[in-house]
Amino acid sequence: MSRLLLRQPARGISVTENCLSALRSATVATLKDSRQVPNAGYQLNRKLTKTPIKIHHPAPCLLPKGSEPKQLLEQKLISELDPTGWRRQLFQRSSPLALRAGDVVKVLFNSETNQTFVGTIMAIRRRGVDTSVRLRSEVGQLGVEMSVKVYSTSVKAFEFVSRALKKARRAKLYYLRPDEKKRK
Amino acid sequence: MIYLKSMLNVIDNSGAALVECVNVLGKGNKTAGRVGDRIVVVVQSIRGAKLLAQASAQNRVQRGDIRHAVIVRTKKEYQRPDGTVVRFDDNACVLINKQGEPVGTRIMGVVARELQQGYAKIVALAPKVV
Repeated sequence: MSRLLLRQPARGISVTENCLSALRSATVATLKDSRQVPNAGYQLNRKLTKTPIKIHHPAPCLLPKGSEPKQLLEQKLISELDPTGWRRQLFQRSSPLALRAGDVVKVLFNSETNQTFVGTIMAIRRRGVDTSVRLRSEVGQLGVEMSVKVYSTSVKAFEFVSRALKKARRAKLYYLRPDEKKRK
Repeated sequence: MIYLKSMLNVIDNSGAALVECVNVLGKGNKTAGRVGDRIVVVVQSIRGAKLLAQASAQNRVQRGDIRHAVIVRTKKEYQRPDGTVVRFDDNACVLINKQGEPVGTRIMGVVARELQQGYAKIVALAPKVV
């Protein structure tokens, strides 16, 4: 093992995988927990290098073993942003009050001017906490589309205005956009 | 995304109907204009006589005039700080003078809320702000 260390070049101090595995194999007792790093808290004194290499203790694992951090974070965020659960009621597929493409909905924003937007749901993009709903509205003769983040704190409420007259045969109603060729 | 050769609808009563963008002001090279940006435009077509009568003789715009304008609507979607994405069905602008005041006296149509910063007069004149 010492021969391996001596062959390392003087510059570029880095404890490579090979070096660590060599250290591990050199220890007398085999370790049960593979996360333990041998010689952690020690300093390697290499004869060729001037500065010693510190081997640090591994950072403690804050989550229980086998848990999925991303899922936990998502659940935490959703419960924080939607404590009463009304957003989940409106946008989760399984919910009985779930909104669908084609429904007309009014969005109330948390702004000083009490901004509202009424529009037909063109698409519901379901991505957990990033879920957004695309609404289309004809303001005068001009179409306006707004994609609103469902769990945003700037959204005060979604008011259900009316159900689609006929159930849309599609989940995404992009055909509601005007035909550009016909316009010209 | 407004840049050279982009055609925009004019939604005020300045007299112009359709303008062509020639330059986007205050931005880097080849950076497209967005809602709230100031642009230099060439008037390509003007509106009928009815609307022309409402604008003052000084402000009357002729075909071929080079004017400044502010973009009020874009077809290219843009995102707001709260994550809302907004998209209009056309590109539109309002003609302004060098000081940033609108040339016309009325605005017909929707304008974007982003104009509140710097073009409060246009927002005040607009019938609907999204």
